[in-house]
Amino acid sequence: MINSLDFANSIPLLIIGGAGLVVMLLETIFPKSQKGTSETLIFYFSLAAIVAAITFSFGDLTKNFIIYNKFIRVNTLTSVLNIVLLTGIFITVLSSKNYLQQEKINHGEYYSLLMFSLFGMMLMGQANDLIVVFVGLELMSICFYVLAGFMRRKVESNESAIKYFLLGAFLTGFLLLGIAFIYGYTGSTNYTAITDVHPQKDTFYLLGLTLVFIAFIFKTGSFPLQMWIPDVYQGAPTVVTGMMSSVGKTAAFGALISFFSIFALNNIPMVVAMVAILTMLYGNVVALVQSNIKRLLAYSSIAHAGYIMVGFLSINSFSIRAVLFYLVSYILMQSGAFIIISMVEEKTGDNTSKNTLESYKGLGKTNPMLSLLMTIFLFSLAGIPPFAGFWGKYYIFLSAIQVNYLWVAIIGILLSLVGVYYYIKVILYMWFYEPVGETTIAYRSDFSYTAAVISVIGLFAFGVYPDLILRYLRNII
Amino acid sequence: MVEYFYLITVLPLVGFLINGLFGAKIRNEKVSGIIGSLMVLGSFIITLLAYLNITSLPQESRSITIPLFNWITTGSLNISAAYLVDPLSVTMCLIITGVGFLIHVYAIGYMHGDRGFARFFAFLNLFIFAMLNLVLGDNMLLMFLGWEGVGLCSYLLIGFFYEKKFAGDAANKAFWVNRIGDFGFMLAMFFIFMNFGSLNFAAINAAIPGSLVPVSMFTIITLLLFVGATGKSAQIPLYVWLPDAMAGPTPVSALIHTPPMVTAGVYMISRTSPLFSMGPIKMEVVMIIGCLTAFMAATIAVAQNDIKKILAYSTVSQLGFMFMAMGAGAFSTGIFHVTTHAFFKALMFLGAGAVIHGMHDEQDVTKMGGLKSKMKITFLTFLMGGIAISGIPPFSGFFSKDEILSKLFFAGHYPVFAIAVLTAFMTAFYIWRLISLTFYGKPRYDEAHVQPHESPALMTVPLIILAVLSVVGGFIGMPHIIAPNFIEHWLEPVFAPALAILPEHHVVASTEYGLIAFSILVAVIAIIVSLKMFKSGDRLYAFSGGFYNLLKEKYRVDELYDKIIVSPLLWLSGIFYRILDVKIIDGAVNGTAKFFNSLSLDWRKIQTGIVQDYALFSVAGIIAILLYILLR
Repeated sequence: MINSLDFANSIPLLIIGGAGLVVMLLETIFPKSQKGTSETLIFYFSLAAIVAAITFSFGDLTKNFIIYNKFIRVNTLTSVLNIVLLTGIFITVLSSKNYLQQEKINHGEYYSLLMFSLFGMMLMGQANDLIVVFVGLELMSICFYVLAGFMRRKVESNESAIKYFLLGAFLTGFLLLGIAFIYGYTGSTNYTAITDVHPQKDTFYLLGLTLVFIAFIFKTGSFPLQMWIPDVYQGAPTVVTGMMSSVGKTAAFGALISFFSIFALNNIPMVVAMVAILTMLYGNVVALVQSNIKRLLAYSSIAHAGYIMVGFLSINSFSIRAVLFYLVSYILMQSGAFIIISMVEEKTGDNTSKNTLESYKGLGKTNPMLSLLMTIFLFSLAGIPPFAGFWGKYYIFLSAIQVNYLWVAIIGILLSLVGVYYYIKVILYMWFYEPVGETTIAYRSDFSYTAAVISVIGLFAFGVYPDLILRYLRNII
Repeated sequence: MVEYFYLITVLPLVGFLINGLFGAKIRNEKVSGIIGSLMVLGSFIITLLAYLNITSLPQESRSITIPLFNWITTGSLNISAAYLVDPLSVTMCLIITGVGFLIHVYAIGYMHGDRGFARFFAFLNLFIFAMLNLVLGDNMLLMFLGWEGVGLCSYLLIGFFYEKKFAGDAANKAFWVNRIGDFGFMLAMFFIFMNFGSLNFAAINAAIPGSLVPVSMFTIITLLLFVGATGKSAQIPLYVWLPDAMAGPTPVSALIHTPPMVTAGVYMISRTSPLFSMGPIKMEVVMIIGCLTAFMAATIAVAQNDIKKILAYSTVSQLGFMFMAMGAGAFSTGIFHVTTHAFFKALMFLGAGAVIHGMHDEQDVTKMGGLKSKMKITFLTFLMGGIAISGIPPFSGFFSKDEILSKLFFAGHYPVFAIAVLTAFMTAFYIWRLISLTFYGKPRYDEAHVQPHESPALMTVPLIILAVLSVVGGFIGMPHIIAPNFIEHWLEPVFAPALAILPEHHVVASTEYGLIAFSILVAVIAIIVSLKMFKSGDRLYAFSGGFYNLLKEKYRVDELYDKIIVSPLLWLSGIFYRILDVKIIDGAVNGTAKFFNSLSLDWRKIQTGIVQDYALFSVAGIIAILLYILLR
């Protein structure tokens, strides 16, 4: 039975799901001649919906319920995740408006796709049933496939979408197989029911867990399932790339925490360690020789998936806090960097975007404000204080040391040093090189600037005063 | 009310941000100057309220901690950013914001027309902010933050005229020499954390009585702290930066030479006084270093001709007095001297600024003379400062200096006492040399080109206020035999833990009267001799002969440091550069870079762009993971 309490405890979910539907209707209600009005209306409506959902999520921080016939969980962890995801999408929406106009893809369904994917992400984190995880994951992924191919007249965008779709569909099979194994062993897909069975270290059960884990390895873009990342991220519209690489990954990691905080991962720590190390190694090393900034940050995002994976060596209250802190800082710096990239985008004759590192030469002279923001994002990505990225790495590696994985922490820190090289390279290009030709900014947008500045303020505030976040994470689990 | 005390530091920070970020846009000296000054005035008013608030409390509960936020939480190190409002910090804050405000107002007049006007006020506000953090911090780390901030600001301000090479050099020198002291401070912090498990002053003080920490550890910690103090407070052997620091604009010199930039060391020792009171040796070290510094700097000051240099060495010498007081266990007396010194030294520096201003940037006292009638206010106020520092009652300097002397005497440190008296004699001597050469006698400058003039009211009013303070400031610390000593009573709760450990000394009233008479006599003789000697020009050389050159060249200490420290270091760094840096480190770094680059070039080939390949790679990976799980 679903009762009114269930609704009262899932307001953020309902708001976002409802907002997606309303946006879709709004787009069709208005005739083509009133495109401007509908666009503005949809934009502000989406922002308002997200702000409302964030507000209600703060109210849910102290709750601890299982609702909708034990399908959905509401507790501190899921509410924190929701706030993080909502904030990420807020920044994305804010930075999308002028980008979409400039790329002439300003269709209303963009926002409803964002809302639906957000709905899927939140569902994934709040799931208390493997089927709900699956539904959430697919909802998110299908929206992502469409968003990646949103510039439907451009070859790269189509390439991005089709590659993402093919590999994503391929990996969905493994997720289903994993769910089937777990169901086969425990006789249920419901978390509560499964934990009541007290599953032993049976091979089939372990295989099931591992297969679910593998599906998340794919979604988070970790080794050995990271192959899709560079191609997909390069071709997708830049703001979508920023969203997928920050919010999308955060959702996957969030669901993974939520999943493994119930199913003990301790059975396969060696796998996690190897995945984490190889991901950091692959991402950081291959990023070194990239000449396309989107591809560079795509590889860097692989490396970051590796750092976050280090936090999964053992799931305890400290490592969960560390991962969540990292996710907050990561969402801010990654989407922030992509906002700047979307604004710097240089066009070739046939209107394809170049995004080469070359176009960053001398940007500090022509556009000091943009360059300053970009520098801060890159410094934070490199893990240099006083920005939040530093504390993220610090807590992650500390959590590894606490569970006696000192060697993983050492390897991780050394590899993050390799990472500093390519971040600094971009900064070097911006400030110490003379401009090549005429650098023109793709578009100017106060909205995008605001989004970037919000991110910078967050990075700085959490970097100087990490307790701002940690205080909310104190009574997780 | 208490919850608003954090505004004491926030206001100058706001001023810094406004002038620092928008100063170039404001482009208006008045606005920048007024914002900068008002912020400091605001925090002065709040400090006054804090003072009133504290005095209304019973004596033993006059210590309020204002938590701001949890600063660092990691492992066993928990540091909260919190302010400690107690008699000591309030006293320091009153001086910083009060004298600081006057210096700000003065600077509006002094810096008029300078290109970097807004930048200057931004730095001044930041300087005040750092100083306030230094004295208000309730733990060593926050204090250290202020300590370093003060160092940074003095670097920025000394090098304010960065187009001039000597200003840049002086700024660097100040920075480097301070770094040596900072290392001492840092090491001391590490040891304290190791032994007491906390950096919070209250926690450390509470842990000291009956602690199992060996006495030798106290010695190590306090000596390291003292190294820090010698750096910041310009004591032997690290005093060399302070005289050069006058390369900055004069208001900066005034700010650097008053609390708690250079007196930061004195403050730090007062704050950690319970540590210093444990076990022997360290108090004596503090006292002897202070004594030697006071004497040496005073002798150098006698032979200097640059008006700001004389005052700079005078500061070094007066700081020596403060350390003597600390070393003798007379903590509140030391703080008392910090207070009075703040008044008369700020006064004299600003007065010197007015003289330099009026003389069109002439700083050599031998090329001045007869300014008495041309700059009346400057002369009269400077005279007040001169009398105060010489120790003539009832001017402020007399009370504080006399109390230090009597504390030394009654504690039985007779040799130190003797040197201190000699130094007091020289102090009066060189200050009156400065006054006679500058203001009395006949003009020795080219009267056709230089017409000395009085400064604008923005500069003279602060001088007058400081002069009044220099005259009456001493009444807060009268000798016991004459009147109750207000400041000692006021600071008593702060120093009670340390004084409980140290031995007590009894004061004999008749001897005390004798000492007072004696020190007045010394000062008067010095003044008369000095006036007679220098009324008609600098006749010092004729009296002292060859020794004079040694003094004029400041005992050639800078050259000595150059020979035995700087040159060998440069030589060593050259060797390190050629062998370690170029061959080993660069080799390793470039090798690593090459290795990863080639790895990167190889691995990027995995990324073929063909989806089938990707799927194959994925399947291989998945199989590897599943096999590991199955075969384990």
